[in-house]
Amino acid sequence: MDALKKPQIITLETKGVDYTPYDVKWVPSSARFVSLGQYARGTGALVVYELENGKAVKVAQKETQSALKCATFGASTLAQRHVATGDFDGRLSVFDLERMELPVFTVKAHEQIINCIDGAGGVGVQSGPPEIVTGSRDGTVKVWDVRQKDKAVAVISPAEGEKPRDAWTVAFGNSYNNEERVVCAGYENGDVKMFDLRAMSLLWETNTKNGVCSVEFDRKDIQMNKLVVTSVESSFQVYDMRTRHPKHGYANVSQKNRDNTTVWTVRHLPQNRDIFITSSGSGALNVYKYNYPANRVKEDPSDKQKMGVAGTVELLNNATLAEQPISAFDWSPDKPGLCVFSAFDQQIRVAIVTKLA
Amino acid sequence: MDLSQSDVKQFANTFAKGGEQELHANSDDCITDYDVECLDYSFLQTASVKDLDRLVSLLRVLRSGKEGIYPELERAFEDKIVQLDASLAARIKDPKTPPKPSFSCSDVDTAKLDLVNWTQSIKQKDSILRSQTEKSGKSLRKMDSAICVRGCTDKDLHSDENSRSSSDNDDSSEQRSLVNSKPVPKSILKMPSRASSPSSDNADEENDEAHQKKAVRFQDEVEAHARELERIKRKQEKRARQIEMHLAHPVGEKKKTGSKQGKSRSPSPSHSAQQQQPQKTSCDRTLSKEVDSRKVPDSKKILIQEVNSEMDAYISIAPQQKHRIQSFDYGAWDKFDVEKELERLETTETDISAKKEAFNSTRISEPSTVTNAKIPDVRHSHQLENDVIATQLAEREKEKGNECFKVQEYVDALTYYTRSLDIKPQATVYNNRSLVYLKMKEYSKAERDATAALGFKDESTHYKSYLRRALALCKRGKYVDSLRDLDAALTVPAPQNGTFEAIKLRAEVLEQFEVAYGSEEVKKLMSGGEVFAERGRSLTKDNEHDNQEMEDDRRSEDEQVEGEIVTPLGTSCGKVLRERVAPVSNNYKSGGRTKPLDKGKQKTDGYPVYVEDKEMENCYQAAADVVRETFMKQPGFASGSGVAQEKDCGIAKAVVGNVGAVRKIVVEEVDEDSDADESDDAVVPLQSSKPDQSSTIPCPATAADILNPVTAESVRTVPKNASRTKPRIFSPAKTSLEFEADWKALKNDEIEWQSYIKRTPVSFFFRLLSGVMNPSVLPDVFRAFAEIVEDDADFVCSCMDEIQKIPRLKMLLKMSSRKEKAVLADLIAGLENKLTTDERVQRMRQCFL
Repeated sequence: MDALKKPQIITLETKGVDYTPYDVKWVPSSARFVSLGQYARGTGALVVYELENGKAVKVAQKETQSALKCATFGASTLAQRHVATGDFDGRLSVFDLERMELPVFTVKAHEQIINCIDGAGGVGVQSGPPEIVTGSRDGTVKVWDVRQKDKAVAVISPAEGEKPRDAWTVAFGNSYNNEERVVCAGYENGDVKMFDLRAMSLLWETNTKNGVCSVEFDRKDIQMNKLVVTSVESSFQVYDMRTRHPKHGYANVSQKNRDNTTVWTVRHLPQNRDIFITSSGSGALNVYKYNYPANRVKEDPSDKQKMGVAGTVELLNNATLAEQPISAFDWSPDKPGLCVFSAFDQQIRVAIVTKLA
Repeated sequence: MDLSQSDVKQFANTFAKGGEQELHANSDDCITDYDVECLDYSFLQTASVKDLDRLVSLLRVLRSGKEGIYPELERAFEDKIVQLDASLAARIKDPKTPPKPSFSCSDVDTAKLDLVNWTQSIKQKDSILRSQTEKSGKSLRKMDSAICVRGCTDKDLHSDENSRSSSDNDDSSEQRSLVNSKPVPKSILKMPSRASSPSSDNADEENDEAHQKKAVRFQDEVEAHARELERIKRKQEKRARQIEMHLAHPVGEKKKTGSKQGKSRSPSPSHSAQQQQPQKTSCDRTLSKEVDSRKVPDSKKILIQEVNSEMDAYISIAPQQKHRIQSFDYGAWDKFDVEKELERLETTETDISAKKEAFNSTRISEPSTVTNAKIPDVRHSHQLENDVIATQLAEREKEKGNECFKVQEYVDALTYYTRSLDIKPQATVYNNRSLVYLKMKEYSKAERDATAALGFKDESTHYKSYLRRALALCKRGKYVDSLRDLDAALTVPAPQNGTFEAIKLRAEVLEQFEVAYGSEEVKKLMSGGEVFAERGRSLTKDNEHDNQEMEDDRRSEDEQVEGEIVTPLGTSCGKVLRERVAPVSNNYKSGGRTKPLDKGKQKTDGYPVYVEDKEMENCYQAAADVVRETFMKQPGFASGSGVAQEKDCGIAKAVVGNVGAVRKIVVEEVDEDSDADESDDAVVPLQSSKPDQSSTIPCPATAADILNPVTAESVRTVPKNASRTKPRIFSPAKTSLEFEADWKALKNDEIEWQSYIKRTPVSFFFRLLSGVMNPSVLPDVFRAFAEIVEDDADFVCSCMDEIQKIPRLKMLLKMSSRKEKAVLADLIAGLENKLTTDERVQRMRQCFL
């Protein structure tokens, strides 16, 4: 890819905020995004911004009792666009952005802080029931159906006697029809576990040695294709999830970030599943492209089993845009390349990555 | 695929499109002829007022983006035109051109501008969504809860099952989309209206009410399934032990409530259950389950049995297993009383309908996959009412499809495209799916999708559709239709990257066609085909009216010959054959009229139309083939299949003669005086059918005797059609491609080829021959010249002069064989003989030899 075709990351808007932003999400089919975090006094902030002539304008806000950690629109339909949030007290709440006074749905999901949240089944057809998965410091990962209050659909917790590990990240995937769905969770000790929600079993697990900051499937609503796992130690792995070898598991390719800092998040471009961006502890964004190998499956010579072949990861561009770690990043689902991210320097930035087509 | 909004290129493209539209609106033909050299600043400097028209047309060319996008040059052209004639300023102004600075501004500004534009467009969408939510906000929220508890009617369930089972079967895609979108939303919409009480003004109250209702339902559900859960729990525990999960031991906690439970049922046992009780509807299944949960002790017993059985991997199917008798348990099946079971089901059903509310509320937790599957479907089908959402969803599915396609996952791509089409049919998606089918070698489906895509009014996608269909048709051996589509592809607005693909494909199809049927056959089939008629018409536009009348006449005569035509190409070919007469007359026309284009270098006499005897022979051969084929099909004739080929030919001749449909045109001179009544003159030879001398040779009775009446009937139609393959009079080609095609058709026919060359205007040669890929075309042109040179040396000389300008002439000449070189040398010598004084000839000798 020559210099002219190289994607450029252009910051279009920087918005200072009076709280520590933890997560930021585009509202689907709109020029709005929500940002949430923690005010200095410990309360939670839920703020909706809208782009007006290239400027982010605050259009609604709400202060919650407890600081908000994470949010998702994944389980809500386009008609509703309710945001599901997890807070420091372990409460899972769903807010209607049109009237945020009271949550539409709220449940005390975990004993401790909800670190991560993901939703599936909201947008898209034939992609299963609308479900939210939360991961918490108490070591459990719970799956919720918003239509069913107070009762988790599935709970994945450590075996008795084992030390609960902080669940840092969760992600849905493989939701290509109404029955299939997996949830993948990353833990502080480097464990990555994938659970099959149809068969209710542990599908696969591995250990990446370092705490897992972020996991994401390239698409939630297709057959498991790729999974990216990022870690505190500046590296990330891309797993080819199509073929599983009984012994070697999924094929993967590992890549190290340029700067030796934590890879906080990974987000796949909604318009092209092979392009993803990672945000690093140094405030940089890296755009990568995954190139498939010529053959994704080969035969293991020793036991004649099929095994996957990992592709290669190509860095398309990187840019340092913030002074502090970028903790949250989200692509606009509607405009290719448009993204919003928040960093610990209390700034929310809107940027566009050009030439991703 | 449509990601390119975000950069400058996108801007440029939009401008180009704008220009192109304007161009099409003006439909100016003059832009087909322009000199690329003139698209330059140097030309601008020298341009004067008399070049004004040219400047305007060149500007159009520039704006069309055909030659690339040069905004600066465009502006220079505009300025120059305005400078020359200020009154034109308004005319040349491109109304669609946004402010110019957008070109020169930096990436950042572009991105910002783009963002602002996008913001505006997305805001509209957003506001639509919001207003809809606002309007139906309460009902929606209610609906949400209503949906989960909504009891699906039998019909709904069935239709849903239908739709799901057919999701891989595209044949029923239309039916499915109907099922998905029509009946379901209506039934849903009833729910909120029923639920909303008159006092629903207060939103909060509403909310609370909804919450309360929800809570009640959830409680119901929890109670109704507590026992069931108990069972599940135990099973899960057992299984967990088997699975030996490392850290996440699901002891006790890892369980699912009702709605998840369905997921845990693995598909195979549920299938087998369905197979065993096929008469039970899905609704019945849920009903029986409800009965189950009330009879706890029974199911416990079953549970114990089951745990012991090997089937315990599929535990969650438990509720159904009460009714399940193992397939190998013949004794149990013997005892199974169908009547009784049906009766029981009936009573349960009436029981349930009485407690409909209760049933509804318990359904939420029904662990059946049906319920589970139902919920999202319903949710989305109600969304489908909303166009914004539908578009969004369709787009999303399309994108997924595109991604899969890119990595050659065609089956997945197919699924997503089909889904997208179910939500909202789009031409592009049909095109894409067509391509997927092509890749999967399902050509009939590919053809169907391409046809569907052509059904959309927006012509911008038609090029691709034609291309896909042509490819599909070609693969299925329908070459004539395929070629027709490719020609059509060249008439619709071309995409950004030009029509190269279509041109290439056309050559390939033609080649395959020839391989399959032999060039003779192809020639015959193509000669009168509407493909060429089309071209003739476009060239001689002014004659169209006369031709139209003639065509009508011809067609009416044609109507007599209806019915299936037995040809190797099937019906598609028949169509072409039937329409063959019209082009013939048409070509007479163009043959006469293209003269004036020759800039008076030749006399304005009409051109003789040659039809060789050989041609006639071909007709007979074709007819004979068909006769033979028909004979072979006759069971009684199998023994007599030793009939010699000559005899066949004779029979055919006889038949042909008998029918008297053969019209032989030997050499018809179109009189130069009859210019005005040309058309009439041209038709005369066709209408005056002369009895063929060959018809006298074999006895017509022979044919009639051999053929039984039915065969005779079918045969009779054939020669009629076959006889129409006679005069192949080609109008001059407009493009190199056409020229090459014509060459292919005529290369074995010296005289026709010569006349064809003669008819081609001098000025055309340069353009036609410089684009011709096949190296053997040029020698054939020379050969024709060598023959013509005696009659019309001046014409040949001018043509040679034109050919001399071809840039790659040297290379082409190098490729020619010794024989061909000899022909060329003869030609030059002939020219020198004729035009001794012309200095052009001297130059030619240097150039060509």
